Order: sequence, then C-alpha cells, then structure tokens
Amino acid sequence: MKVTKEVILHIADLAKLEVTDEECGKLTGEMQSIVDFADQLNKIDTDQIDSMEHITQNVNVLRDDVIKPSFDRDELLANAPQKYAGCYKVPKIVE
Amino acid sequence: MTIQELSNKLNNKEISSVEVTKDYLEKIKGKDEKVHAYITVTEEEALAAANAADEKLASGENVSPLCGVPMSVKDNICTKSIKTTCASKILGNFIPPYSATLWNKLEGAGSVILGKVNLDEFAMGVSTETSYFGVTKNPYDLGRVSGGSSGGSAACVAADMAVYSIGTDTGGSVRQPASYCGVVGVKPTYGRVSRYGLVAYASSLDQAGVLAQNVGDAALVLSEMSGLDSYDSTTVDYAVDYMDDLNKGCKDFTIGVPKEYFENIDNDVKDAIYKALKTYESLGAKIEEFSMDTVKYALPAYYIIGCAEASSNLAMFDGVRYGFRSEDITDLDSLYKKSRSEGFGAEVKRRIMLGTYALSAGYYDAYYKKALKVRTLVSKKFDEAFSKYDVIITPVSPSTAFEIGENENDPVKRYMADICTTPINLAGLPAMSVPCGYDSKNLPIGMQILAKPFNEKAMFRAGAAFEAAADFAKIQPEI
Repeated sequence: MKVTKEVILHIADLAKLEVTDEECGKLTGEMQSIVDFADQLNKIDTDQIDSMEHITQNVNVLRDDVIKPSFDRDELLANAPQKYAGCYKVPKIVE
Repeated sequence: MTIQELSNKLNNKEISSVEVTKDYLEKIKGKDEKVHAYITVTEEEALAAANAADEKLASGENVSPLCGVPMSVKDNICTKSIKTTCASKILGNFIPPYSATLWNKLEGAGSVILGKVNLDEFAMGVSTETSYFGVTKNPYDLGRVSGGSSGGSAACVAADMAVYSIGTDTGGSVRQPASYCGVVGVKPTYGRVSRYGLVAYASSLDQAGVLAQNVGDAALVLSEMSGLDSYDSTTVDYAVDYMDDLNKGCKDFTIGVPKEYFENIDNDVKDAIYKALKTYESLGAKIEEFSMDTVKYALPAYYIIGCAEASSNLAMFDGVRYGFRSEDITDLDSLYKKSRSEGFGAEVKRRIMLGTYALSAGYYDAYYKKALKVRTLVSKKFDEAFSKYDVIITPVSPSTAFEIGENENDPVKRYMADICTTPINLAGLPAMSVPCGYDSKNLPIGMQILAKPFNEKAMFRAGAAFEAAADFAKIQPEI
C-alpha cells in the first residue's frame, strides 16, 4: 500500500507523536520500504487459517482474592515529573 | 571463571565473594571505557550483596550455586531502587519501586549485581546502536557492534566484566548478540520465566534469557529464574529439569536442518554450522535436512506483530506518571506529544508508527490480522517438524558482527539480521545460540539449537554435547 505524507501525519497524531517536515519526509520513505516488505505476506493464502494472538494454552487464569498491601503512594509518586498534594500534576483540562 | 568453577571456590573458602566482586569492579573500570557495556555500575550494591553472600557461605547453610557470583542485568529489567533506563531518554531517571520476579529470585539466591547493562532503546534493534547512552562495542573488534538488543549483556560476558548476564529476547535479542560476541545465549520457552517487571516491548513474544560462558552455566541460571508466578498469568508450572541428563550426549538424537534457513547466509557462517553438524554425526546423532518454506514470511509477520504490540505497550510513556516530561507544553495533548517526541529515539518512533499503522482502521485486516494468521502457519510448521526431530539446528544470524554504522539508513536491511531468530518467538519455542567457530576475521559465529516448547532439556543436552566435542580453538578477545 502507498504511504503518503498525509498517512504519516494521521498515524503520528494517533500515536501522540509530533513529526517535523524533515522527519515526515524521511519517515514516509522508511515506512514505505517496511510496508512493501510486509506486503509479501499477501503471497500466502491464509483464508482458512485461524489467527494466533498468543501461543499459550492458558484460559482464564484465576487466583484467590486476597488482600495484600499495595505500593506506598509517595514511593510511586517519587518518579512523577510533577506532583501536587499526593497526585500527578498535569495542565488544566477542564475550563 | 565459570559459575560452577567459581561456586566451588566460594564454597571451599578458597576465595571470598567480596574479593571476586572487587576484582570484577576493577575489570569494569579497566575495560568498560572501551567496550561501554554498562549503563550503571552498582558498586555499593555489589559489595553489600557480596558481603551478605560471604556471610551466607560461612554459615554453612545450603546455598544456591549462584550465591556470591557477580553478574549483570539488562537495563529493561526492573531492579528495585536501582535505576532502570531501557536505554531511553524517556526513562533516563526512572528508579523502579519494585523488582522483576526474575530478579527477586536471583537476588534471593545470593546473586551479586555489578550493574545494569546497555541495550537498544526499549530492546528495539539488532546492534545497541539505538541506545540513548551510546553503542556497546564488540570486544572482538571495537569497530563492530556487539549485536542487540542485549548487546551490553553479551559484551560484558565476552570481555569478562561479569560471570553471566540476564537479557531479554523478543525476536533474537539474546541469541544474536550472544552469537556476535562468542557466548552462549538462551531464550527459554514463552511462559518459562515470569515477565513481571520486564519493561514490555511485545508482550506475546518477550522472554527473559541468560547469556553465559557455557551451556551448563546457562542451564543453571535458567533453573533459578524459571517457574510459575502469580504476577504473570502466562507462566506455567512445569518441571524445571534442565540440569538432568545435561551430560548424557545426543547419540539417540535426530537433528532436523531446515534448508531454507541456509539461504542468503554468509559462507563462513554456513561452513561453521555444517562442520558442527559433522561433529554431531560423529557423536552418533542422525542429521536430516527438511524444508520449512514459511521462514521468509516470519520476519515481516514478526515486525508487524512486534510493532503493533509495542505501539500499544509504549502508550504508557506519556510524561505524566514517570520519566521524561517536556518543558515546552501548553496543554495535555502537547504534554503527551512533546514528551514522547523528545523522549523516544528514531527507531522506537519508527516502530510505534509502524505498529499504529498496522492496527489502524483500514489496515488492521491487511497487516495485523494477516500477520497473526501467518504466525499460526509458522507455529504449525514447527509442530510438524518436532514430531520428527529432537532438536533443529540453524544459523543464528546471516553474518558475523557488522561494522558500527553499517546499513544505518536502511531499516529493512537491518531487520534481516533477525531472519533466523524471529520465527522462534512467533512460535514461543526455546532456542539457544552456541559458539561454533570463527570467520576469516576471527569474529565469533553462533549456531542456533531449537527444541519444542518446554523441552529445554533436549536443547541443553544437544548444546552441552557439542560444546564438549567441538574441535575449534577458543579465541579470547584482546581487551
């Protein structure tokens, strides 16, 4: 399939990435070569084949509902770039 | 010194863990400036663990053979209170508040951690060149790559800057660097080792593995890491029996050799593996060539599935809860976009983009769904093959270690380094790289031994038999 600049910009937006004009040009070419490479899969007939999401045979692995101590809040927040009053701090999202 | 040799000396009190650990820390100081295997050297933690190990050894209690043995851990495996960067700017200062299950087990066994070692950013690459902290060089030739993504693990074992190292393998990331650096590299069956605490790349393909000096050491470390874990529902409760029968040889083995795995492979690599197959014949094993025509489709299927899962897994890096946050933000959307764009390197962005593309409306069926169906085909082919063969032998990589910067601008060419290793992850099989010779430039060559799921025992047995009988002289890197 054809990878255009518009496709790259749309995908970047979905992936929450910003691409500069220069990056966009480079990525278009690189992505096209990877997509062309992937297109060889169309040579095999898979109409009657099931898809395999996972190789394990495990189904519904259950465990007892046991109360255990969870992580300490301050310990988890120690890695946060910005925090306020025991919470993660982000820019204002509601007017 | 191997784990088994060192463990004997520690138990006989010929040497203390503190002495060995100091010796290794000195080696790292002397050599790592040239190799750059380590991102973080944990001198303080190492000496504390060595002291504790010495006390344990002195108490006379029954200790693990890993007790007091200095080792290293790939920097995408969470180690409580020790920085875990994933070789990325976005996690450059991340200090995990918990440890991976595998590290809890190894630490509990008395392992001495020398430090956290380099990788391609988020384990995405075949050379460690995508690391935010710079490339790890090959101890056999400093102008060449160590392989990847567990390049730091392979290089530190090859250059004797750790007795062994823990890596991760999503498409060949333990086996290919092991092959490039002349060490043993094991990727166990999917489900053998808990993935809890591994920073996920592609969850249905990721497995932690071991890089060690010989097959016995690798089997030993894997025994200590394996097992059911309530924090990872894909783990299984199967017997850990790799050490049994390790030295029983492979006289009764039938070894399958898929001919398509030898297409487009450098002659030196091919010759070394054919020679190894002769060694197996002399040991009494039966060699049978067979056809596995799905191999060339496994690589594109792997990149689609791997990148699709990565694009989803890496959505967690948003500049809010941990890691890097851009200064240049106006609202929440720009916080996400700027933090991710400034925090991720080019290869990671490329794979997130490819994965997002393969999962997006209009392309999902053509790429992602198609790749999952090809995965079924690849897996079935292996099932068929293992109804006939005890193990399968192939090359690990088409070439030996390439030059730093080679094919830098051609991602597809780069991806070809994984052509022999990615099918194994799609099918979840156990596989290992075992050194089997050198090319004309004296660079190491590895052969890949595969077994059916949860039959690590056969894989280790075949590896140990070859190692004991191999008739090539081992070249030590001059570093």
